[in-house]
Amino acid sequence: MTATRGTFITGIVFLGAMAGLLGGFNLHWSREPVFPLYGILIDVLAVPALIYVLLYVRRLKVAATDEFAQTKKRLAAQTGIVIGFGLFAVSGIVPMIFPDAYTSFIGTLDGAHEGFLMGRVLGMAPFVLGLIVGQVVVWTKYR
Amino acid sequence: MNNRLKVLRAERNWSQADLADRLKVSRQTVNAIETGKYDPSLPLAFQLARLFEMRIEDIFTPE
Repeated sequence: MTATRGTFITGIVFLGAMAGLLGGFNLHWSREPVFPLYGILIDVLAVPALIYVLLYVRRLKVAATDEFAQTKKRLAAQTGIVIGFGLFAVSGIVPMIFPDAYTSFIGTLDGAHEGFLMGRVLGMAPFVLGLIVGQVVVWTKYR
Repeated sequence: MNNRLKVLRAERNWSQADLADRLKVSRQTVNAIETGKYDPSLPLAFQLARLFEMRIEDIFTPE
C-alpha cells in the first residue's frame, strides 16, 4: 500500500471528468451537420491521454489497496461469477421443468418489446444475485 | 497456519495500527493474519520477518 486512498479517489474523479467531458463534446460534435476537424484532432490527442490516465489510475488502485483487500475482492468476484453462471443455468432449465407456468408467463407479456426487456432483466438478474452472494461469502469468511 | 504475531506485537507494545503502518498494509490485514483468517503472501511474510528480526518459520508454523 504505497498510495493513499485519497490519491486513488482523486485519480478516479479526474478520469471520470476527463471521460465525461470527452464523451459530452463528442456527442455535441456528432450532432453537428459535419463532425468538426478540431473535434477529430482533439480526439486523436485526448484518447491516448485518456488511456494513459486509465492505466495510471489502475496502478494507483493497486498501490492504494493491500493484498488482503485484493484477496477479498478476488474471492467475491470469482464466487459471484460462478454463482451467477449457476443461477443462469438453473433459470434456463425452468421452462423445461415447468412448461405450463412458462407458457402462461410468456402469455402475460405485452408484445415482443416487453419480452425483450424481460429477457434482459432475467438474463442479468442471476449475475447481480451472484455478485451479492459473492460479497456475503467474503463477509462470512473474513468477518 | 498458526503465528506468533500477536505475542510479538505485544512484546513491543505495538497496536495493530502501529504494525500495519510499519508494514504499509491496512489494520484489517494485520487483524486477519493474527486471527488466522488470512495467510500473508511470501513478500509480506518476509517483511514481517525483517521487522521482527526473525526467520519466517519462527513467526509462522504449519497447523
